[in-house]
Amino acid sequence: MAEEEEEEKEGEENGRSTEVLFHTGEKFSPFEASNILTHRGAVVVLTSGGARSGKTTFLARIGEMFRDGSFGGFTFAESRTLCAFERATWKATVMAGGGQPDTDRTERRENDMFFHLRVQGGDSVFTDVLISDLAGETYPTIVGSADAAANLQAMSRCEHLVLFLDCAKLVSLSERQPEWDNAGTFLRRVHSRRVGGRPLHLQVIFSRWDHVTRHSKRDVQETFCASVETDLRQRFASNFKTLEFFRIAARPRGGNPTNKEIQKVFATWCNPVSGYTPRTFPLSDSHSRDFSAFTFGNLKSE
Amino acid sequence: MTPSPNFPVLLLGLKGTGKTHYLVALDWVMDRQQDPDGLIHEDLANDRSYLQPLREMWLKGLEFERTSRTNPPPPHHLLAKHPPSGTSISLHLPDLAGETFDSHFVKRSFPTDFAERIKNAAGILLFVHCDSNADHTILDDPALLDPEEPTPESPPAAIAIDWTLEEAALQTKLVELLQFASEVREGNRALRIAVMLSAWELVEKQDQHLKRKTIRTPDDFFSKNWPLLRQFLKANSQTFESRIYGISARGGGASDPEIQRLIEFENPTERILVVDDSHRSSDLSRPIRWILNLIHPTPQPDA
Repeated sequence: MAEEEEEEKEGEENGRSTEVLFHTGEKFSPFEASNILTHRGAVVVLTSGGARSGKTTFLARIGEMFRDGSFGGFTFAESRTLCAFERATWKATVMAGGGQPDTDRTERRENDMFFHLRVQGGDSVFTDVLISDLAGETYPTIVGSADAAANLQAMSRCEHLVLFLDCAKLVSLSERQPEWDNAGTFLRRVHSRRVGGRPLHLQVIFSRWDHVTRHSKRDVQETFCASVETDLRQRFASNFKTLEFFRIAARPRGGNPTNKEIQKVFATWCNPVSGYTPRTFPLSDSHSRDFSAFTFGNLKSE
Repeated sequence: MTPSPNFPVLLLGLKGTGKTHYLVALDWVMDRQQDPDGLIHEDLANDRSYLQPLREMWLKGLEFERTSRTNPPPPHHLLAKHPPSGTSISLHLPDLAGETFDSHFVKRSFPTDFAERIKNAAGILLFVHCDSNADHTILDDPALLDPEEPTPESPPAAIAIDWTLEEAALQTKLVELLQFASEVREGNRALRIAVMLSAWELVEKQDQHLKRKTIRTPDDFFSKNWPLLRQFLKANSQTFESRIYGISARGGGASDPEIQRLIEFENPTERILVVDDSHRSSDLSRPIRWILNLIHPTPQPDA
């Protein structure tokens, strides 16, 4: 190692580069995401919801299904953020040494950072997907302030918004009403932020669904969730281009994950009918075009 | 005499995947080639100081020491001939330590000379070991989980260690290295990749032990056990044409009874196995011939 470092140092001193550098494998910055948008086109997805509502676990599970070959209908073609996917899954692996599967929380500084996946569908069409995972602690901030929503670039640019309703809260008498209410306020914030903008598709996920299925009064909980669904449909169906509901347990305690439902959500993102058209040629040599698409015209490359 | 066309074929694989065993056994096979279409030695390279002692160890059934990362051997040079076509070939097969590729992944870079080699490569022999886990096991089996949901009174759970780049799963590392390679080769013609499933005898032994009706093909095994890498190669067939081989270059394990078994072969070539779909032989030059289009009819890439 010391020899190698010495060689590198010598190369640098001679003014020649001894290494060809590649992507870091971690989540994309907005600039890196723009590069993909400019050259290939991509569908942009924003996942949102309260802390510990299962957003990152859901994304980790998508990565895991591609890695174990169980993802139906799509073939993994590329990811420039493989390390970020590994990191998201790590604490649920035997190797990590924890007694229970866990997922690190997304931190506020990770807002507007993106996972990347390129997949090939059954029709052989390639789709690039950029997914931003909103930090759980940012969610109540947006619920409380319109300014917070205005600062989120992924919210301005996304074609798909995924809202997680945490079933661990929906089955709790003291927490279920605030969870429901916050969801409504959040969706109003998003709608007012996006009025006149490009169409937005909404997927609402009843996450950690095993809290409902394992509940001693399962029927009661299911009925409650159904009434939340009806309410959200009545209030918001006209505000979004499409509105779909899913019941998902990405890493349930006992029983199997709802892999098919997770795959359905992913398929919705890649469906050309939902507004995504893969770009077959570069539209611009400059990133500025997509900076404006991301509404960060003043942002400079680092 | 006109110099033979030079074909740089790269060996890529993480540590312990059988790259050196392959090189040494290939050298042996080219001396005692049994396949009339196989490559043979046209001449011996001047410098065999790396290969010759290893060949002796291979014949004695001994295990090799790991290839040194700090002192890599000189590129392995084979002057080969393909008798049916009369083609002379100069093969350059650098034997880099598996740790070198780990280091490329961790440092997120290739040294410029390695990047140049990738750019000019005729093909890659990509080694994976049949007995390796391609990925980490997820904690979802009830047998691995605490039966009760943790409560505030529960004893503290074991603390998971943080992820580092070194901890990445093997198939993640290999996909990433190929993604790096595709960046380096952008715009070049598709690169042929022969995936070498080393220690293939273990798979066949397991199939026999489990009394499977049909022995798995290398492609079946690869698709099931290395799914991310398999999908990646399939989806990127315009960048990488791939074909999957089961390879047994050492012919067995390293225990004393296994070593005894290996040295009892009257013809050491019989230790060797190359499985290419339903084709079985001991011709370790077959994957190289596929890369160089020297198999007629040329088998289609698996992807």
